[in-house]
Amino acid sequence: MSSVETALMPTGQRLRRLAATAPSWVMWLIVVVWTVPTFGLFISSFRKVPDINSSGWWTSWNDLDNLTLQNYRDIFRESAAQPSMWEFALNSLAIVVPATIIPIAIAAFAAYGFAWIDFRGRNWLFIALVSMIALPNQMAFVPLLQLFNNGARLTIPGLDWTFVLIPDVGVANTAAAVWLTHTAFGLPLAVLLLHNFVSQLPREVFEAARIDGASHFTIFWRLVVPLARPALAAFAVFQFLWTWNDYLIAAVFLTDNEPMTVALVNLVGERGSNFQLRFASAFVIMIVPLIVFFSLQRHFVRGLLAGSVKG
Amino acid sequence: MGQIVTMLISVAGALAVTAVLFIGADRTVDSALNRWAAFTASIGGVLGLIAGSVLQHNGWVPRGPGLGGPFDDGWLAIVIGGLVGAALGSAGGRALVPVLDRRIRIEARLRPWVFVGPALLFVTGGLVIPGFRTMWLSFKNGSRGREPGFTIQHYEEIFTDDTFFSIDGWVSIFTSRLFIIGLAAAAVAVVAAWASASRIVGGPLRVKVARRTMKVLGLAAAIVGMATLASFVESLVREPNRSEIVDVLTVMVSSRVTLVIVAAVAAVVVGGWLWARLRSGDVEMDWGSPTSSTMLVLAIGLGIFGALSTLQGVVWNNIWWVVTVAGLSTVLGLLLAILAERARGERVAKTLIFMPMAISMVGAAVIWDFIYEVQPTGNQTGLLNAILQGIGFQPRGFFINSSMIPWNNFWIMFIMVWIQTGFAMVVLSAAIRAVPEELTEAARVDGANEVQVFWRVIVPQIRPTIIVVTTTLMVIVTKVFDLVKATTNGANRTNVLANEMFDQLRDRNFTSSSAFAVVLLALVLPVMIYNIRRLQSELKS
Repeated sequence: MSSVETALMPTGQRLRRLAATAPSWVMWLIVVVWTVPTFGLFISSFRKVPDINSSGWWTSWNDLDNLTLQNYRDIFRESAAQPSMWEFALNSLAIVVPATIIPIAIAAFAAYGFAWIDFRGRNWLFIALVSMIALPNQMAFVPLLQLFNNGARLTIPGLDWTFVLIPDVGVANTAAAVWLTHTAFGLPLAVLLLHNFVSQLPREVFEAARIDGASHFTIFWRLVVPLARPALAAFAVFQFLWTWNDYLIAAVFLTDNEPMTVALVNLVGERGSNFQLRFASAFVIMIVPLIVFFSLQRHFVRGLLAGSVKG
Repeated sequence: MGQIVTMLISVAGALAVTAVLFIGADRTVDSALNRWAAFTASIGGVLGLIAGSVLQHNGWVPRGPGLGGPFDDGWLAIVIGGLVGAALGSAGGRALVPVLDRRIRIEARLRPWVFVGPALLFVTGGLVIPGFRTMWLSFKNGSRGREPGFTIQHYEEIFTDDTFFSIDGWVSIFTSRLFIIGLAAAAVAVVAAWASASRIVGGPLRVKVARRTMKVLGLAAAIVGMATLASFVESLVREPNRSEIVDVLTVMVSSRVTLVIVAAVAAVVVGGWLWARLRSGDVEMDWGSPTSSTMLVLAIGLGIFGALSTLQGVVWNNIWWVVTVAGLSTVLGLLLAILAERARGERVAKTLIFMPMAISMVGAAVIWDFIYEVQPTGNQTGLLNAILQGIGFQPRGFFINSSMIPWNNFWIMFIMVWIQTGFAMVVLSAAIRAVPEELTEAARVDGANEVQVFWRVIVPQIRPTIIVVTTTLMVIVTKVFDLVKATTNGANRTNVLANEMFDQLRDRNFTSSSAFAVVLLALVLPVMIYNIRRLQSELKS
């Protein structure tokens, strides 16, 4: 509709039109508020130290020539004060890759078992397992730390006789300690998500397969895994983002070979010479999950919905 | 390069171990049907391996023949244990083969554990047993729990130390402006619910309702009069030599104490009276009317928020976090979900609001530095302070300065809201889409406007989802750690339980760290119990 036509409209109609566009305005206002901070970080990561300390990032529009790639060069260069970001990225990958794949495998077995194999105690075991979603991870840190450092011993009271249950296998302070922990912590949600999906598959498929003599293993491998691929992808995205972004578990279980999040917190802590590097570092850390998020958003949303709407 | 290779090897190794264990267990259970001896041999072998390694790790085997390497460590004991176990199992299996019926039953009974066993093992070993051990440790003597004896000292420390838990300031709840606004909103909600009910019933009942409304209003006027009188008396007592009417008014307005006491009495009286009428009355209050619902949400939200903002200590702070972030994210998410239905460019907007979900909390803390940052002199480099300065206010250190207490907490909480709103929006949006079109259309045909459709049709329909979203957020927020760590590290009364727990862990105070973890568990326990009951009823249906 042209502006002339709009101007000729009666006032009431014009007001109604305005009211109809109000949701768009409010929504996009919130979108701007939600996006500006990230954008500010993006711009700042290209600015020089004196600029960062003396003027706001929004003033950069006036002199775009002052932007530089130096910060990025610095964080990827090894120096005495700080190892290169590549190293931290590799540490992150060493945690994230197993911590994503292994829970998926184990949770897929369990989801099939709980959904399609009948056994006594199935329901309450499933409830017990899934209710662990709400258990604060903090409840497990101290014992797991002790387990990874010293193994598990049982001292029989009165006899003064210490019995080694689990030996110290040397996982303390390695990526394995972190991804094992992530696996345990991620499993309850993984089982819930996959169970919700797998239990919705049509019963006839399974009955037909059983009649044809397929074993549970065959059914699982030939039918469930291919059919549940969307759910598997959804949880993979979920777990990937969660483990990549995790700071707490890495900080508890690692004192060296830290992932990128720990490196960033260490940078934030020191307000000294490396001050400007944290902006570039923060952006580098964000870029991988953002790529995953934007390319696999569909799966991510599906995972969220499966986990909470049906839940 | 070396690092990448190590990583790939360990990943492949872990996957191979998982696959071999799973397939091996599956094949073993298979063999119970047709190759019984192989089945018993496998079981025997595994038991033998376990027995051998127990012997080895406890040093109960001879240290070996002095050949060096694995033999000297007693590793041979494990191998021998496995072989002996397998041989015994095989022999036993050959000697005694159960009938087919029984073997079928054994196979069927073992099969599920092949599938659910690994997950149960991981969760038991990684969460359940450690959870119980943490509870046990929290009652142990000594910072690492090695000394004999039990104590409740750690809990005592948490609940007697004012930095962790204090109820001293509870009186100031009633002088909190937000709390008073919340009370006012509650009053409006009551009146609105009443008025709406009277509009619906009409007729003779309507007269009754109107009379009652008049009574309530009369009572309210009486109370306000009383309050005025009381504060006038108070002003005379406090500053008797003021005579100008304006001065007296100033003193009266500034006197909060009387007002608060009277307001509290009023709230109790009006609330009690209304409740009594409601119970016995013939008119249902219409809480679902748009004004009433909005005001109720506002009243509950502001009331709890205001009350918690005055209470001091890490425990209260944590609860404040939970209420604020879960509440605000849900409300904002719902608002955005509704707006998105009618707005242009919905997909792009939703993606952008959802995006912070993908950003780590540590990253979010750095990002928001550009909004909250304050410079003592010169140009402001933080966006909010630049805006404040631009419109003529003093810049402030949003969570750095102690002068901001307790609102420094709110600015950190808002970062969490920024992260979580997308989640609430996406889930609620899907729920709104699932509301049958016939319902909303029928309401519109009956003359309901959009606000009424929202409060009377959509909200009741999506209530289960709202509860799920809120409880999920509550669980997430209770454990909040990274954000506080990366912004203030708990300075200026911004500390939360998880951060305190972490600090104790870092200092190797394992027992008091455990006590903090248990307090965290206590906070989420209601949600856990609620979730379990919901799952139970869902599995039944």
